[in-house]
Amino acid sequence: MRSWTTRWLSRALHQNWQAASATAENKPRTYSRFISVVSGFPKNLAQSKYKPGKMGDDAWFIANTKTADVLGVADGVGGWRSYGIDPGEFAMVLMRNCERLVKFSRFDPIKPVNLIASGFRELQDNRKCILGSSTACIVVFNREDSSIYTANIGDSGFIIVRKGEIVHRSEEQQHYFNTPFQLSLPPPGHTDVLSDRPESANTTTFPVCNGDVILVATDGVFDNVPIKLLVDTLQRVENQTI
Amino acid sequence: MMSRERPLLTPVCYAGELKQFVEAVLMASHEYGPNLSYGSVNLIGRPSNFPNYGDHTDSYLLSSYGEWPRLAPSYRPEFGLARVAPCDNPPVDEFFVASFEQAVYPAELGVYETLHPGTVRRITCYVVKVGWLCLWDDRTDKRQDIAGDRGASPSRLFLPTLRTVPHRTRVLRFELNLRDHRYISGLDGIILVGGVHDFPEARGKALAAAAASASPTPSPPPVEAAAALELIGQGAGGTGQPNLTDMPYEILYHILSHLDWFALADVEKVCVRCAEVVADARLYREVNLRPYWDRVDSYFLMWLGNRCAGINKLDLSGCGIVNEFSKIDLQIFFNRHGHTLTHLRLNCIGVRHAMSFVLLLCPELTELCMQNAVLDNQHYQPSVCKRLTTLDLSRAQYAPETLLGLLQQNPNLQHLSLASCDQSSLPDITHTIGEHNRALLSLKLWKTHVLGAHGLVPLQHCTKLQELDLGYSNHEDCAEGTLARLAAACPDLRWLVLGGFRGITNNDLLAIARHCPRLQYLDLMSSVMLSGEAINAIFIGCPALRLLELSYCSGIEQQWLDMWRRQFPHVDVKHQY
Repeated sequence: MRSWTTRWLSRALHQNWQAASATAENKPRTYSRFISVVSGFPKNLAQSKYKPGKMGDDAWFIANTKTADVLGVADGVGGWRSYGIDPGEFAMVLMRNCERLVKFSRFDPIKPVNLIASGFRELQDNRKCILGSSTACIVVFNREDSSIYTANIGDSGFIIVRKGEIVHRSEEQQHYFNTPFQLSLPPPGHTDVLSDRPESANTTTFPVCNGDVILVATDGVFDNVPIKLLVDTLQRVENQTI
Repeated sequence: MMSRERPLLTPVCYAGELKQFVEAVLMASHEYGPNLSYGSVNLIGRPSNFPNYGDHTDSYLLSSYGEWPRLAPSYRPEFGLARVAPCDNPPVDEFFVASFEQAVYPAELGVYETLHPGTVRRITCYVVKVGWLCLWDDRTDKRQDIAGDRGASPSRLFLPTLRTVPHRTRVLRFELNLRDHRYISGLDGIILVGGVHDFPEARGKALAAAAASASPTPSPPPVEAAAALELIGQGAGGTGQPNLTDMPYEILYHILSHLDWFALADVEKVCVRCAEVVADARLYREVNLRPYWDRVDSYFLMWLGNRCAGINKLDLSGCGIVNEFSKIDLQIFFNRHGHTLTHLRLNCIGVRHAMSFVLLLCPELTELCMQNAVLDNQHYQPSVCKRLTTLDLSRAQYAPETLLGLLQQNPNLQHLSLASCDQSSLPDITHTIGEHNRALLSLKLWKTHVLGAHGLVPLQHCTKLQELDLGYSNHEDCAEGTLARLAAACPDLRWLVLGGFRGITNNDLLAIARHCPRLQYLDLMSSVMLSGEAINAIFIGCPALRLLELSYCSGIEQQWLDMWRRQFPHVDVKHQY
């Protein structure tokens, strides 16, 4: 484990948070909302060019409507590289589809599984044959009841930190070592490929309040950064008033 | 968000004017599929891709290009156009109606075209209490096209020179012509610039200067009604010239039978004799109101309803988008005249909901086209139609039992289109078709995702099939050999769409090449497992082939494509754009 990655990550998180809070408006609000930032880097940071929404094989999106705020991450399964398939494409297109569905309000805030299912269906509508597989984790904040609704397939996940304690976290879904649950579109002819249905996602719901910090991340974060360091970093931004 | 968005190319906007992007798309005659990808919803909001050129999923793609839609076996020619003047019926393939948030005096308009630009032919705006006014017409008005990315990209920002409309509007209808296009085209967004409180001073001066220097726009040729009126008015008493109204009834009828229905409404007001002839029901046997969509309202429907006893063919496609007539108006009309109708087209009309009364009031129908209609999708809707030969329910919503009932009651069905229908509306469709509709000539199941592994097997009974659209029609790979056996069972196949069809193999292509010598149009888009050798067999086995779509077939090397284009120049081979 390389310690500079964790320092970089926590510094990036903290700096971005400062930047976001410095530019936010100073207005009393009668409803709650997410203030969100994103940070990450691909394995080949030195060689790759930044593309919004994609970090190497992982992809993310942030979108909101009048009634909900949505965060999502997807981790493309790297094993497809040996078949000549770009693993990040599946994850990226899945997240873009989910973002578009949220933007056009074609989703139910209390059923994030349907969002994943619709995004997955839209993948199959692509003129280009998109192949590959990825995990997915969607966190929806429903303004009406001030709760989050989540759906998680695979080993990406989220934690919610309140007053220095993790009050809610996702459960990892794995078939066996290094083989998480995954949505997949295998190449034609490959019928023995692991392919989990969107309905097999773990779904949870949890009431949140102002000041809670939610971290949605792919397994690169949870596997490499000690949990204590994560919680401490997140706690430092917890009670920043806007 | 981290990245800074590149500044978007926009038309000139003076102080006091608003720039708006599309807020909602009220109706689109063409949709690539039932979902968001490539659909008309992507016109909403700021363009997502411009100036990047390509078939982006978040742009609006129009795939009915060139002459192909009219050459397909499923094409149903239009009726009632003999009396429509060509200036009233410019070639228009598709249309869409977009609305903006704020009503403004339209000053500038920009259409962001990100794939094969140049489709817009006419733009009209809707003004409340006035009606539809033409803002721009390709035949008479000027245009400007700015290349995207300062000429580096083939995408274009199309800037029509709008006519001055002294009203505020927020609903625009765009009519598109794709006949000259060699491939699909794509639009990314639309921007409308205008003032809320009239034209700002600077804009007003610019408009006045432009109007002064512009050549007068040629007016459309005079409608024959004016000439007819002049003739009728002439020769009053004593000059020896015969008066038109002195002529026998049959002659006057024959003359007026060349006028369109709105001209007839004008002629009727001239005198009692003219009104008598205009009231002759034989003038209204075949009524095509599609070219007159901007003038059809409830008053006109009532006027027509009072005269068209015995009407056989009616086309109201594209009418009533902003509720110029209501469901009640249609119900009254069909109550009076539905029983004589044999051909009815209600594609993409404003009244979408509960079109169920059509199925109950028109027993003689042989052709029924109700694209985009909404029937009750929970309950079975009975129907009295038992003579249908053409049924087009693309993008419509209905209960599965309703469709089953229609299929079972109409064994003579020849043309069936269920393209882009929602999966929940579709029962085990091929089983029913194979049982009851063996006379089918064309079947479209584009983007229905409804077929299972053995879904193609019952279709082997439909041996007369000429056109089969199976694009994106299955939700799992088809069982091996089913497609080959279907090709063997249908030797008459001319039009075959297999883009996005899961499970197609090289052996299927070889079977098609062997059994379908009359094949003219073959779409194999995104079939990544196909090899050049199998497709070469198609070229050899199908001498009538004219179009072959191979976009996103990544298994085919460039040298095959080069060779085919050289050796078979009469075949249009599509590979990317």
